[in-house]
Amino acid sequence: MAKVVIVGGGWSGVAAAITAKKAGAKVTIIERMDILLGLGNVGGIMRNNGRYTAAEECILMGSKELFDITDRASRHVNIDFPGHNHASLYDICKVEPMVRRLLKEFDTEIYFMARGVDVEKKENTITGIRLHNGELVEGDVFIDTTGATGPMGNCTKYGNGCAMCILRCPSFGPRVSITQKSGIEDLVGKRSDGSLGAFSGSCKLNKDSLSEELAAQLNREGVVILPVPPDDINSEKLNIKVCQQYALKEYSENIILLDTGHAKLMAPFYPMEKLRKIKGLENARFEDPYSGGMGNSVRYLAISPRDNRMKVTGGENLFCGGEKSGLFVGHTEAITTGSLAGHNAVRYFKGMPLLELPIALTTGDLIAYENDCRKSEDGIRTRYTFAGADYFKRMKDLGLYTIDREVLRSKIKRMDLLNIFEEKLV
Amino acid sequence: MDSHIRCIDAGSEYCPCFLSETGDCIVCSHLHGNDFCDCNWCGTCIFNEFYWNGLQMKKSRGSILSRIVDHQFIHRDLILLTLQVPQSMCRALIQPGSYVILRNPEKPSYFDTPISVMEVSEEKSQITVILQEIGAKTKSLLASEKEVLLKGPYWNGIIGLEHLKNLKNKKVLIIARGIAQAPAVPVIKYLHKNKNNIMLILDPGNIQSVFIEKYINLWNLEPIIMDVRSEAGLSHVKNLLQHNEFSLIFSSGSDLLHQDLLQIAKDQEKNIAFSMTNNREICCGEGVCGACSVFAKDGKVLKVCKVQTFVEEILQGGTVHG
Repeated sequence: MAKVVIVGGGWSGVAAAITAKKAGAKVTIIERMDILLGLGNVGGIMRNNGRYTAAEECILMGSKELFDITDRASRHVNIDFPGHNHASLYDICKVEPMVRRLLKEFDTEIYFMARGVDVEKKENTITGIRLHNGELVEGDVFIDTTGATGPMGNCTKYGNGCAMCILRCPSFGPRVSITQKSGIEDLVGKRSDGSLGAFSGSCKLNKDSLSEELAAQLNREGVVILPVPPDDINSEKLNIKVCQQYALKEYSENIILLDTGHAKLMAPFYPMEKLRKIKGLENARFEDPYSGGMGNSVRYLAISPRDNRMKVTGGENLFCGGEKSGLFVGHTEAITTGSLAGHNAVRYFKGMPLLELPIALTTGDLIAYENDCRKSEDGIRTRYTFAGADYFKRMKDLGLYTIDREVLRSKIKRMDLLNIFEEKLV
Repeated sequence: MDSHIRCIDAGSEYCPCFLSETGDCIVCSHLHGNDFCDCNWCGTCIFNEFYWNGLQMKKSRGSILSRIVDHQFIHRDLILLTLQVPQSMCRALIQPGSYVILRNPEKPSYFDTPISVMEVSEEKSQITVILQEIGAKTKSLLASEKEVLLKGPYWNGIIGLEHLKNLKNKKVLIIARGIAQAPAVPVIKYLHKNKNNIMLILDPGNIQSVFIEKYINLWNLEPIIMDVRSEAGLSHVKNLLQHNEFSLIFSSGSDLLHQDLLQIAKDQEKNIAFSMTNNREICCGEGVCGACSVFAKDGKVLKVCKVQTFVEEILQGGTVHG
């Protein structure tokens, strides 16, 4: 029986767990924190722009459960905000328990508060993951979905310091790159000025700290746009962000709030003094990162080299997904790459040819496109997301963007990929 | 950074230390010439501490003049000294494996002598140490009239300290030989406090004396007195291991004793943890002077006045210290 060990229980890790299980493997997740979903616990934006297409492609290929959860947990559906259409915003408090219950149904073994700190190898094949407490978790195939954010020392060196984000390094210990520990060097992403890493693109305000009026408006409409006093407009901060799809002028001239249960502020951080000058935010406080007035976590500091089947280059039985697998932004991107990694991990075990998603699908195209672009200096300073900036334009130019389910269904059926992730391989 | 190498001072008030400024930090990769995080997490971010301290080390341990409150002859060349120390120093020396660096105030710094703390009285703010008059350092130290120069607190007197720390309600075997009976006292006290069942063997060793009985009489231990390193002694220990389920063996003595006991423990093929006294030469206690250097199997230099790692690494690297 194939034993697949997934290090990192974020969106990509849980997506991998589901497809690996469907393919017939016995699955173990090693999660550093005491909850699943990592940064997904402070996210919430789904189905905006090209993410709609990507979500539907994944669903049609058989990776549907997580999109079902985020749809069901949505506080708002089909809303527009600057640069983005037909978005869904999920409730950040609802999703993690729903995912946890789902994985229980899928018989997934989960180690919580377990940090993989090293790998055991036999030649180039990983035989097990060594945990911080000394325990060895053995397996046949391994998936690195540890993300690329922080830890604390990195945020201190490349950001504004530890902003006390959801990843809670002081409490659970720092992220460890399994790719790096198996002797393969990670890549480092850059921001547009060439410096290393990029800030997470949003911070969250405690909704109870907003004025009643503002909170009510946010709950009702899902989006609130508040103009920034002219003296305080700062266009430069847009370049330091991860999420270039939110780097439109509207975002520097206004404060854009989205309702995900938190009031999600679409800026990496916002100095408290300036924030409290805005009507309705006079008493505002940050929910995540806790110190969102001074900074945010720094991302993209440890990207695995990989092929388009999510296999780590230079490794033998190691796959990757999520932010670890590229300069991606978003839960949809994480679920896409994670699903493929999980499925291919089992194909690898079986000695089958690995699945590469065709570039005629946006999911396949993003994976291939990012892998290609990251090799250039410009490319390593760019972000890749179905939701906006360069890539969404590319989707439209290539005719990949559609919200028509039936168009996608016949396309995917034609490619023989309908429910491919549902097939039991072992 | 190797996952089995830790630093005893990491996260303490003396961290970051001198090694952070020269790029030789034992734990933090940023402070060891790397650009990214890759540490053996000790519970706190050392780079963050360094940053917030103005990209500098914290204030290092200073020397104080410590009044000699008592000077007692125990046996042959064994002397007991009781020293007056500040309250905060006292508290910091309670932990098993604590040691201080002492010297006669009239002598230069190379007379610095690392001495294990045998007993701490928080009430009187005093510590007790045992010295054997054996060479230049100890002779000049014992010639000190009213006070000694004292630097501390230092904590790496025991290798494998983590095995002791979390042990509760278990059975342990402690073997203390010769002058190393002194560092065994805080270990016995600590393990007893955590409700462990202690079997104690005291070996008179080369000093031909069992002297700690009055320091441990509170705990009704009934020690076995014997020459452990004799054939009969080792055989007895082997027997004890076979017929008891010990969770830990604590070896307090020379490296030769450690090696004998470690071998016996391993031969049992039971999962017995092993901790031992740190016998490396220590002069600065700060990981700088190199006196305590041990070369690990991969050629890396370990500064054993600060480094915690596998006992085998320490015993097999460097010279055997008797």
